[in-house]
Amino acid sequence: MTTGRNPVRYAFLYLLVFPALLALCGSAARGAPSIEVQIGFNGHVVPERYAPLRVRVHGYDGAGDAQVVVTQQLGNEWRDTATVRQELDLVVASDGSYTTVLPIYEPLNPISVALIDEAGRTVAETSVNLRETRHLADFSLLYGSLPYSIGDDVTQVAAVDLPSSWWAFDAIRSFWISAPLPQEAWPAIARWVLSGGSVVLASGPDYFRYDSPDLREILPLDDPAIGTLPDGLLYLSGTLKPGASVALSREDVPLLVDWSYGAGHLAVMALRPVDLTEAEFTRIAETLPGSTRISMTPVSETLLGGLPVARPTHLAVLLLIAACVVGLVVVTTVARRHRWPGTIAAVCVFAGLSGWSGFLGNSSNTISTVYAINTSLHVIESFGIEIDSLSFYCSDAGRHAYALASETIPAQAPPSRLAEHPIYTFMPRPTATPWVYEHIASPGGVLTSAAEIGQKTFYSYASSPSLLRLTYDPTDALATLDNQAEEQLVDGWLVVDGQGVRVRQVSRGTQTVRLQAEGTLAALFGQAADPAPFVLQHLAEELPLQHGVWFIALSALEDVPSQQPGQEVRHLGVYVVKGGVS
Amino acid sequence: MTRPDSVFSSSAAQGYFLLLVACGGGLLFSIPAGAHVSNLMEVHWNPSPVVFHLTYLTLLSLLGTFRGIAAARWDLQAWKSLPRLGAHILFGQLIVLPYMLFSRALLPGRPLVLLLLGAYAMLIAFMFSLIAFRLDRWGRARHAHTFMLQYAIFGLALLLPWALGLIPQVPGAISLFSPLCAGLRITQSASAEELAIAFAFALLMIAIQLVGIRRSTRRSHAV
Repeated sequence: MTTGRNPVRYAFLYLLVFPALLALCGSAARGAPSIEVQIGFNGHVVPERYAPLRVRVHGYDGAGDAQVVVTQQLGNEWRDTATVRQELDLVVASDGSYTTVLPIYEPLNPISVALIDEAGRTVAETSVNLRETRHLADFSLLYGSLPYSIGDDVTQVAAVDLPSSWWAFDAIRSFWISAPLPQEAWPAIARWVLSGGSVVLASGPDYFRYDSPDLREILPLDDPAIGTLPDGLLYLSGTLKPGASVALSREDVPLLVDWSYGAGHLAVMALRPVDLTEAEFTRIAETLPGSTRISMTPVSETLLGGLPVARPTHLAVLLLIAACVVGLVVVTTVARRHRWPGTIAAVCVFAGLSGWSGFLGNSSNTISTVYAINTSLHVIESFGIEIDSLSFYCSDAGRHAYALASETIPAQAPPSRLAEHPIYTFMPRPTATPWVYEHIASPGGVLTSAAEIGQKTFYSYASSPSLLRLTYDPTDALATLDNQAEEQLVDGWLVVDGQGVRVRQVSRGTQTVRLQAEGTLAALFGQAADPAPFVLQHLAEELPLQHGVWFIALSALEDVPSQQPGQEVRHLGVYVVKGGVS
Repeated sequence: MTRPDSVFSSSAAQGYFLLLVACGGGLLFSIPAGAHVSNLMEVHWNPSPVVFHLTYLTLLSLLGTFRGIAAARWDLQAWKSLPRLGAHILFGQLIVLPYMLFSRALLPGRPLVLLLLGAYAMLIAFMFSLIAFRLDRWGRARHAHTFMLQYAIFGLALLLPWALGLIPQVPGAISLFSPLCAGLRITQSASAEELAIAFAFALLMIAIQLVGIRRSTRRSHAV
């Protein structure tokens, strides 16, 4: 007699179910997406500068594209707090490594990075703590190795971590290269030099192992070759390009050749680093200029301040009040004697005043609550970079969306008048960024939070094609300009070694300009019409316009059609082209 | 009891005069001070363009209260007083019409908002006039002084729902019972639900007052 289930019969079932459950749990565990994040160069970042970001995605099954969202919490309970949400330009469709560049504001709190699917669900999340590795000022980057120290604040970078966007080097003071770089790293480095970066190429006679088209462009030497010193040492020789100079030499042997390229600087060592003495090496490290950054923030903020306010006049309102009061007195007086004529008169008087006030007295018929200036600076040699700046003033407490020209993640710029803030008369000014406001940054745009009233500036960087090309023939003093820019350029200036002429009509296509009856830069700036003098003055401070052949062109400061009523947006395009001498 | 006064009587004209001057002041404040954006940045106190619309809404409501108290003293039956009361509010609306049209500039691209705001202000002013009218008649029947009561209720109705709406535990929609908050939402392009709540509340309050006035009239007839 059996009273229970047959254990042998059920043992087969357990044998089938148990492995199936294990497989199910295993696949679920393997499928749970996760992300690894690296920000900066080995975590080294500088507040208020851009930094490279690498996200490694594991276990994402690719059910739709996911977005990477970075959230930075700024401030603390003792002062204002703000949340900056950055919706990155990374589309994650499957497992792999994704890189981009984003601004880092104040890495005291851990930075949260999340992978968000199309339905808005967070599928993976992690946080990165950069408190220990942050720098308060820009630092040097080294690729390869050097026999002597180049300072305390140096970070080494591996080939795999080299970024492909030039603004990823935003936090770098100087980049020392002592080993051959991957070819794909050079475009970003060359554009960074054009924007103000500082590079030391410690190649010596091994230059040809480093060679690439972009390096050849920024190298201060033409026709590089290998020479031999009497003591048998090999060295890098070549013809100096115009503007290049020998910065350091040992007797007659040049040790360091350098020049300015765009706003930046490149120096190349003629000997291998091991063939230099420590004293020579230290001298090189000391004399090398650090990187600079071209900023259009002062230009856009100044242009914003100069924008006229679209509004009806106060005088019109005063006249309207007076007319209404007089009208009321008159109709009341009349109506007390003759009721119906007075009533009709009242209707006629106030209907007439309504017509006058609504259609004549207030002819502007609009008050803008948002004013914005978008400036795009294109700096062009044989390749180009774009520096965009957006300054806006908002007088209402709503959420507003703003667009920048380049499709990269914008950064907020410190307000130019931060030092004047009255709060700092009572308390020490913090070194961090209390001026950063709540906002959502996405490629090419910013969404500010509600209740943010006042003026703010955002900027972004991008690479751009060479829309203008300039060659100059010094024998005939003739410049040839090839203009392929889409926007119409209304004014231009050709500058050769600090002397220039104004080019009143910059047409599309090829045109020649003869440098005759030239004037100094100051004289040229003085003759220009607003807003050109300020723009030119600013460019002369940011770029070495006194040396070499340059062409500067401006578009008209014109209105951009706005999506929302009450917004007044203007755009200014600035093109700066460094010319070649034929 | 007094003779019913017209919209052109001295006491009514004082109210209209006050409405014109105060709304004009609000309009003046609503216009940004400064010819360039740099001037706006330097001036730290920069009132919002909706200052005028809130001033207009408040003062038209106050005018309604003021005329409601006056109408309660007219030597007229309640049902005959109400059309005259409506005419007084309509005249107040007529004289601020030039300001309203001028203020189109303050709400660029949103002409419907002005129409909605005008209609809402009329309803609210009529609502306050009925409340004041009913309270005054109620006080007179009982020989009670109600002079400040109407103004106290006016102030509370403007601010109390708004303040309640700020409490996290209280539903935010309650703030739309405040004419100021509802007016602010209308100027900020309120949603259809918000408009429905604001207008329905005003109409409901008017209906309640009318029913109350009718009952009290019947009661007095019966007596």
